[in-house]
This record gives sequence, structure tokens and C-alpha cells, in this order.
Amino acid sequence: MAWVPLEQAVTRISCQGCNDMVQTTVSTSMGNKQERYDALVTVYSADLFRYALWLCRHRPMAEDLVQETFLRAWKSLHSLRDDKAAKTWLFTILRRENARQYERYSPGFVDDYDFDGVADDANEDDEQLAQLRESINMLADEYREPLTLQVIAGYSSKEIAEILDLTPGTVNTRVFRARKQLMELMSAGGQSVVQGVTG
Amino acid sequence: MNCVEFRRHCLQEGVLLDQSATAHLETCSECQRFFQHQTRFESLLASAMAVPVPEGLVSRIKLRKSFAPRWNIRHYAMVAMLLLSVGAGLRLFYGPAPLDEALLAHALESHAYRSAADQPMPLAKVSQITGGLGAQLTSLSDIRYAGHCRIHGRMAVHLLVNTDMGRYTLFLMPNQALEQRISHELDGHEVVMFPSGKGSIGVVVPAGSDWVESTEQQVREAVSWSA
Repeated sequence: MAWVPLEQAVTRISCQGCNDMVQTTVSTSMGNKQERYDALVTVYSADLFRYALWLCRHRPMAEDLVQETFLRAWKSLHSLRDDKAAKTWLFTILRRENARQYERYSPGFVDDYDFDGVADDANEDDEQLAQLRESINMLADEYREPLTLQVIAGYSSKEIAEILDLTPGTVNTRVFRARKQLMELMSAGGQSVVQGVTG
Repeated sequence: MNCVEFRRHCLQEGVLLDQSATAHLETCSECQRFFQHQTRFESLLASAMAVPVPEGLVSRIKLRKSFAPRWNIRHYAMVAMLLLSVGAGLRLFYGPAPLDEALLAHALESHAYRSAADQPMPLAKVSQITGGLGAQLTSLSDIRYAGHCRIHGRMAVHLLVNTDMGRYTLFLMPNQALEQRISHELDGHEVVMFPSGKGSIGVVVPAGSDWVESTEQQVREAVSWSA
């Protein structure tokens, strides 16, 4: 099983100390653009990649999106006044880049997502994990995106609402429905992890 | 907080409980059972979302930045004015475009080399990928990698093509317009770009290869664009 321990899952979302540490890492380099940029790349590239992958569901394109995001970040790093806003700033850039891509091109071809490649990790061959990934992939974009921001980036409903230009109430409704649908999909697939939750 | 509110809270916030939810949990055995299942689900969800990050991602991000043009449009304009004022020739004025550096960086550093297959890709798969951007390929049979990528922020098709003489990288860039053919030698590679359709095509081959021209000709004949 490749589960994240519960404590770790909770910590990803709630640890203010970790957030402070990240902000310190970025802000200690405030005086030097290159160092500041490197800190942003080191701290946020993994989460941005994961967010990008769940947005576009295509690994090479997700990597390109992340690279393009940081390229744009480099060009306008001077406009980032508050280092505490760096994370949201980067996620917003990436989201806009993805939107630009969809606006300019037919979205048909990006459905060529490749989650087979994701399962290359020897620890991640678990059937439940694979089915849950497939289920997440089946969610409508409007449900998957806020859930991704909550689980991967640890954002609150209010922060997600700002990024997605929604109200916090709408975000709550969407993540609620996203989880409910995932549980139903998992139950339909016979996975016991959600038995008793939806029942 | 009652049981319905507690469960709604869990489905909205995961396993992060506020004070009132915690208070309810302590007194309700049904919700304790629900919470146990919910925590298992949240753990699985976090694992599912935490997809592996490609090796070397950080390095490639930094490398791509190093290939980015360092000047903005104002700098270029100033240099152009200066060159004009000293009577520099038009060729100098239209000097090397950063596009070739972007192509070379992408060709060398992208996932394509790592993902290249030992056998030719099925042509149907290649057609599906090129067709997504309106390109059709004929007579390039031994393609070891085909995928979409972004060059200067615009979508392109990235191909690795095998020939008897060696392997080369081909970029089909329907939204990257070029006025004329450009060829440069960069870091041990020759990058050739030429207009094609409403966009352009880029070819990256090892420098000094005596098959650059024949490759370019072959590519010109092989690629067509849908209207």
C-alpha cells in the first residue's frame, strides 16, 4: 500500500509551521533575484507539477506548463512584493497558462493523458490507488480542480475561491460533491475503503 | 453540530476538524466510525493525488530559464536602432532568433530522449498526435517519439526520427510563424527552421552532419497541413 500516513496527510494541509518555513526559505533570498527564483523552484515545483498534471492530464504537457509558469515568474518576479503570496501567485500563473492553452487549441488532443506512466513507481501498484486515480480523472473539471488545490496545495476554501474566482460557499459545495462522487465511484468498483462512508 | 453537519464538514474539509466538529466526534460513536473510514479515504486520496514528479524537473526548469531571452522588447528595439544608425546590414538586424535556442534546449533536455522507444511508434498514434495540431506526415516511417510540447509558450509537435544516418529531432510548429529559412550552429548542433503552412518547422541535427539538406528536403515533402 502506498498510503500517505494520516498525520502526513493532515500536516500537508494544516501545518502553519511548514508554511512559515517555506516562506522563510523564499524571503531570505528576497535581495537576490536568482536566489529567490531558485528557492521558488525548489519549494513549489513538485506541487505545481502535480496540480498541472491533474489539470491537463498529460505528463509532458504538465511539465511544459510548469516550466512555462516559472519562466513567466522569472520575468515578472519584481512584481511579487509579498513573499507570502508566492505560492498562490505561481498557482494562478499556471492556471492561466493552462487556460491559454485551452483557449488557443482544441482540447480534444489533451485527453491523451497518461496515467499509466504514473504507475511506474513500484510502490504505487496498489489497485485501490489506481482505481482512485481513475476516479479522480473521471470527475468533472469543476469538481476536480478545487479538490486538487485543497489536497495538493493545502488551500482553504477561501484561498481556493480566490484562485478560481468563486465564492467560498461554491468551493465547499464542489469539494463536497467531488468527494461524494469519488466515494460512489470507488464503491461501485468494489473498493472497501469507502464502505461505511457512503452506506 | 449534529451528525449530518459533521459528515458534511468532513466531506468539505477532509479530516481537518474544527472545534465544534471535534466536540461532536467525542460524543458520537456512529460518527467516530464514519471518521475512521473517512481518514482512510483521505489518506488514500492524498496518495493518489501525489503523483511522482519527473526526475530532474527542477534542473530542467532552471535550464529553460537560462535559455530564455534576457532582454525585453525595449532592449531589442534600442539595439536595432543603434545598429541601423551605424549602417548595419539587414542580415545583422534580423540576426539569430532566440527560437533556435529554445528548440535546441527543448530537444536536448526534454522528456523525448528518455521516452524514445526501441521500436518505431505505430503510425496511427503518430497521426493522432500530429493531427491534433493540424499536421499530416507521410514517408517518415521510423518515428521513435511523438508528443505535444510548448515552444515559446505555443503548442508544437515534438518528434524523434530515426534514419540510417542518425537520429534527429523535428518540431512542427503551426503557430510559430517565420518569414524565412534560418539555420544556425549551436552547441554542437545545427538548428534549421523554415516556414511551413501558417507556421514553421524546426529540425535539430548533430553539427557537421552531411545529411542536413537531405533531411530538410525529406521533411518538407513529408509534412502537410490541414486548412
